[in-house]
Amino acid sequence: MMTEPREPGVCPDAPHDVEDLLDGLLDPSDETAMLAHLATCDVCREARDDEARLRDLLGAPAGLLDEVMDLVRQEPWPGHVRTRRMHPVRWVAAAAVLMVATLAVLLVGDGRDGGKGNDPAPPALAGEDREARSVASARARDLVRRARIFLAAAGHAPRSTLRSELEMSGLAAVVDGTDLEGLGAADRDAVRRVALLGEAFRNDAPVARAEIAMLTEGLR
Amino acid sequence: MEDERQWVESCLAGDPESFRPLVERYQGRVFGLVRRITGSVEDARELAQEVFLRAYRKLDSYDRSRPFFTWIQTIGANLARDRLRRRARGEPRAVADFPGRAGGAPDPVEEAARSEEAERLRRAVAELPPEHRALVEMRYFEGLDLSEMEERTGLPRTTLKVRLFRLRKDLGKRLTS
Repeated sequence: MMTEPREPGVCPDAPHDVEDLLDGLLDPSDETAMLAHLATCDVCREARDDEARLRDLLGAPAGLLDEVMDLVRQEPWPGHVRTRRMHPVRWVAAAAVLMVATLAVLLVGDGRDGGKGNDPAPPALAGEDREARSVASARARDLVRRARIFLAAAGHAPRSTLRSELEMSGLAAVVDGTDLEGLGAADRDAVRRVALLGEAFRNDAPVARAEIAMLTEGLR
Repeated sequence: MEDERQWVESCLAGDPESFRPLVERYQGRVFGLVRRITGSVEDARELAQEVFLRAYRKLDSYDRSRPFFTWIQTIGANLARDRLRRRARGEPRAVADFPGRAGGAPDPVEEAARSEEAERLRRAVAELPPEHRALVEMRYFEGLDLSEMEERTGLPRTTLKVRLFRLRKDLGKRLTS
């Protein structure tokens, strides 16, 4: 059973478009209705077969989906980085860097350390609270400053230089162990991106320049 | 986009199978993108795998307020351009962390026949008038759906369907002639 199409390729009886069916855009009930229609309509069936053939030849190659999923199943789950435990040596390095940062803040006084200071000024606090807030703020700003310097170099410096910089600055360790509360969204993003690069460097994973570019996009 | 966010959440919660619908939805576009940039079907297949694998590895850095495709498009474009640069410098492929093509090897005879047919079809597409070629590229190389094509071209859906129908027939004839 079929009605002669008024326009070539447009079946007036089809409940949905063949293209949407093949694109997987139909709800299950719509898909069922469309499949039932296909069983009775030569025009739509032919359109479906032609469309599928072109997609097969011109679109993604057959088997790509399964190949990707086979690779994905071999990967650790992507949330593992967030729960990764830090090596004790890194904790020592982190503590050392934090101590240096704290000393620097105390020496400078109010923590105005030349950081970019994108964040809004904190509300006025008194006594110890203000001091604690100032130290935390300076530490965070120092972290962001280091992160931005690192990211600025990441696009062009040799990998060996970057790795050594990351190690010497203790930045990766600081990133792992630092509470980012109080940082603005852009600064958090900068630090998080450095953490991702640091993670890759420490694991000796190859990091393509394209990946660095992606991680540093919009932060320079 | 809501379904994409849910799939991403499920992946991050430890269910890798939730990544499948994302690959299924965007494999055509990703493959088309990297093929256009590299000009190589073989490179494109490998790069498309790598794009999805990298996206999976970095899934916890994906900003879920943005469309998933925008994100993997950036990864794909960067990887493809990087491949081109390496090729220009004569460097080997930088995929040391890439475990190679997964899955069973395809039947070589079948694969060769399919490749040959695909190549003839691509040549036929290249000979189409520019406005027709643009529609074929949008639909089959970029993987746009009809709604996206409506938006891109400004043409009504019915017009697009009729043109695609005629193009499919035309290309089919060119293939068999």
